[in-house]
Amino acid sequence: MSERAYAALPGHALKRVRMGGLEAIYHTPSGITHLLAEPVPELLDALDAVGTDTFVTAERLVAQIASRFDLVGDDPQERPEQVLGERLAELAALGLVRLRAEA
Amino acid sequence: MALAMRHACFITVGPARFRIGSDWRAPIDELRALYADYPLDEVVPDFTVRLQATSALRRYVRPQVAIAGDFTLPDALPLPLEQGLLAAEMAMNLQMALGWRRHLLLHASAVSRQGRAVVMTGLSGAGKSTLSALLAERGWRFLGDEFVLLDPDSGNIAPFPRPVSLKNQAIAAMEREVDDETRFGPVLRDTPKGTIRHLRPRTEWIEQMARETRPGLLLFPRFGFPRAVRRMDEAESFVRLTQASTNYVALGERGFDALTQFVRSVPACAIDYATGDEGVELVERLWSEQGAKWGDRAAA
Repeated sequence: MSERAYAALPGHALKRVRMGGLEAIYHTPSGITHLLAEPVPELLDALDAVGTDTFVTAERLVAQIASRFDLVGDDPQERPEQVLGERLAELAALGLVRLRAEA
Repeated sequence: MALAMRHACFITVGPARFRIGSDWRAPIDELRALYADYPLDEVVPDFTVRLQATSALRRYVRPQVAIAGDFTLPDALPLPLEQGLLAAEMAMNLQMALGWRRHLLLHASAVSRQGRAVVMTGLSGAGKSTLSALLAERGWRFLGDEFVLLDPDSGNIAPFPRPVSLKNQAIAAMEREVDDETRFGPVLRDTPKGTIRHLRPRTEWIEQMARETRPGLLLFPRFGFPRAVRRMDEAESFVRLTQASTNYVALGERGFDALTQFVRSVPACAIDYATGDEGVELVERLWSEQGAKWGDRAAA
C-alpha cells in the first residue's frame, strides 16, 4: 500500500497572520483566505521546518513534533499519527500543503 | 461606451469622481442642490452613471428611471421619476461597490476625533448610518455613512462623506437634531427602503474630505436592543469584515494585507443600544477608554 507524504508549499504561496488562537492564511495561487485553528498553524510550521522540498509521512512528522512538544489527544484510543494524518489530508485537499503518494 | 445624456453633472466625493447623466432634468437639479458644497467641476470621472428612460415612451408616460453605468445589476428595478435622486445615489453606491480598486471598501460608517476614526459596521438597518450622523452633529468629524475606504498602503481611512441617507424613523430623529432645513433633501416616500431623506454633512467635513485619518476603534452597533457591550476578538472581526467588504476578494493579497493589518491595529466591540443618545454615549465612553491607552502609549 502506498503511503501518503506531505511537504510545505514554497514560502511565497502562503501569507499567514496570527489572530489570537486562530490564523488567517492567504493562499496566493488561488486567492482564497482560510481561517484555521490549531493544530493547523503548528502543522504548517513543522512542515516548514522539515524543508519545502522534503516530503514526510504523518509518522515522521509526529516524531519530529514529539521531540519538541507533548502530544496529548482528546481520545487516548486515537493514535496521534492518525489524527495528524487526517488533518494533513484535509490541508492537502485545500491546497495548503503538497501531497505525494510514496510506494 | 459614452452615451450623450440630455442632462449631466459631475460630483467629487473624497477620492472618487462621478459623472451622472440623466434623460430628465429633475434628478440632476436635485443632485446639484444636495451636493452644492462638493466639487462639481468637470473632471475625468472614475465612474459614469446613467439614469435613463426604461423606454423612449416612458420618458413621457409615467416616467421611470433605470440605472445604468459602468457597472449594472441585472435585477435593479426601475424607480419612478420622483425617486430619481435615490436612483442616482444607489447607482453611485453600485459603481463604488463593484468598481473601486484603490481602497479596501467596507460597508460601514465612520467618524473621527483627534485624528483617529471610529469605524462602525453591521447589517443594513443596524443603525450605523444614523449613529454616525448623530455623532457628526455632536462634535465628531463625519467621514461617511455608507463606505469606509481603507488605504492598503498606509492603513489610513480616506473620507467618503456622502450625504447621509436617512430612513424611516431616523428622519424625524435627525430633523430634531439638525436645526437647518437647508441641509435636508426632499422627502422620498414609498421607496423600496421605505421613506428616505438625505442629510448633507456639515460644510467643514466636506471641505476636509481629502484629509485621511488613522483608524482607532472598530464597532459593530445594533440599534433597538438593551444596552450591552461585548469585546470582539481579531478573528471574528476579520471574518465579519470580509463579509462587510464589497471588494475584499477582488483586491486579492492587497485586501488580505489591508484587512489583517486593520483588525490587528484596532480594538473591536459589538455594542447594543436602545436609543440614539445611548448609542452616542457608548461610543464616547469606549472612545475615552481607548483614548486613555493611546495617551499612555504616547507618554511611554
